[in-house]
Amino acid sequence: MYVFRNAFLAAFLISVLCGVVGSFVVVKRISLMSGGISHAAFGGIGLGYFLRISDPLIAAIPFSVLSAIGIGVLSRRAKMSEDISIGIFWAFGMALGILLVNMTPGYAPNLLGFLFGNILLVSPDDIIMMLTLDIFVLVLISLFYEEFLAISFDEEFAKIVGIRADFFNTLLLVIIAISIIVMIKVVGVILVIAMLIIPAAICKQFTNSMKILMISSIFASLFLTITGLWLSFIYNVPSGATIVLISSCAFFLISLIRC
Amino acid sequence: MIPVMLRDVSVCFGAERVLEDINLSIGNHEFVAIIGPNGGGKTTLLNVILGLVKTSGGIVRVFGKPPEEGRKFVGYLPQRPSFDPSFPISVYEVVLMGRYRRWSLRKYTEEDMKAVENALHTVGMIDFKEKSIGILSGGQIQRVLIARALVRSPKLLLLDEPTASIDSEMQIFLYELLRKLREKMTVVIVTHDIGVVSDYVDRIVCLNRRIHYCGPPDLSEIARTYGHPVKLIDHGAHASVK
Ligand SMILES: Nc1ncnc2c1ncn2[C@@H]1O[C@H](COP(=O)(O)OP(=O)(O)OP(=O)(O)O)[C@@H](O)[C@H]1O
Ligand SMILES: [Mg+2]
Repeated sequence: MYVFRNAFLAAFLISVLCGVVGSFVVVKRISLMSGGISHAAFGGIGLGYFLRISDPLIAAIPFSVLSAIGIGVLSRRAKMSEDISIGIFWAFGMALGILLVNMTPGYAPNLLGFLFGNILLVSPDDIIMMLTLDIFVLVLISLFYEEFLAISFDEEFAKIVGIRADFFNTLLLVIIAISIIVMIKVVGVILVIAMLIIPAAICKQFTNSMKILMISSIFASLFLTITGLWLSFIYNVPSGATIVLISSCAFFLISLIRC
Repeated sequence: MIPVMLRDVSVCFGAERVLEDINLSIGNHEFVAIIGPNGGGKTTLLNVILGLVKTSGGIVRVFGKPPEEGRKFVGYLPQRPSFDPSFPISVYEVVLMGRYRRWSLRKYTEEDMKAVENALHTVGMIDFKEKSIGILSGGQIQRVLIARALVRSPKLLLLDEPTASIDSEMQIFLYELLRKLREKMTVVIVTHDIGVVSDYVDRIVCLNRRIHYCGPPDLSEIARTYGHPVKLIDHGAHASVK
């Protein structure tokens, strides 16, 4: 029973971030970049295995934050289109992770869990880490909400009114990286991007207010995650994949009805 | 402090030199129009004043400071809106962003909200304040963005083709408004309707890579330095309005 309590807590904790951070990812149109950051996180997980840290995800936190800063700087500075540097980062993280795991002697427990997620394996320690990171992200967003809103809406104007756009762009990527870490246990590196964007992408079709978008996305995400969890339990199929499939289908269905 | 001081400024994009030997000072409460052909560098010049493009030489001072610092006293209307029209944001919130101040704990005060209402009144968009920005027509967006520039109570107002997509009634109203505003601030506008603007401004700057003319709005003088009749320059306006 207590496995379920943790699973529900985890569903709630990731839904808060799906709603708040996912809304920024969607309105700022940086889902590709967020995908790059989440795959790069696998490099950090590999590093965690290699260093024999009991929870490899701990090693992935600094690694992801650094790669988020890296992706941000590279896509701003490099004299080529942004999607090229994102694509390279994307594969770089995965390749590094796979090599590091391979170089680690012995068996790598939970590797599939990190790739595809398993909400039923979320431990009380994981919940505490997720809660801490959730609070950290929420505090940052509420402190700098106006700044994040301004750089997302109109970066040029934000600069003119005195917002340090480069700094806040990078900070937003760092927040995304941390949110991804929180979500990895549940949906995994490969599927995490779907959960970050789908709830907000669904709700964006119904509102013209950023705040309503955030709040409704939290509920949408909670509904989708718990439905997926329940179905995966009944049919005894992987939870991460089920949650993502349910969410994608909901998105397709609603978009079709709306158009 | 003099609002704008440019000395020997030049700007290159790659190998192309877009601005060259720009020397221009704009004083307090001056009303200046910048005219010139498409691609002449007018928008680039405004971006130099705003510190949004790197110069490849020369000195730029805005209220005696580098543009990155001086631009907080500036209200700006871009030639083209640079945002995603499907962004979930209301007209009111867009204009409110113009009141942003750093280091304020309560981000927006009563006073800010009153200023937003006033600015929306001024441009005749108050009835749309709760509407989302995406459903507005081009001219309505233009009006909202003018409100966003005005709401800062800037000391320097830079307007890049403000009349490009607004109707003729609003155009006249806008020029009359600018005539009043210049009592309080310096106004620089980029425009193609030289005929109208010369009734209002103190100075006209003709820009085509270099400054070809800078002085009172004397049409025959401008036509001579331009090398072709003013009518023809005026004609260019319609090509640039998309
Ligand atoms: N970011 C950029 N990169 C490269 N070239 C640019 C860039 N921005 C402007 N240019 C070039 O600089 C020149 C001047 O452009 P600018 O936008 O300043 O013209 P303008 O006078 O505002 O024209 P218009 O009347 O059409 O608005 C043009 O030839 C344009 O191609
Ligand atoms: Mg222009």
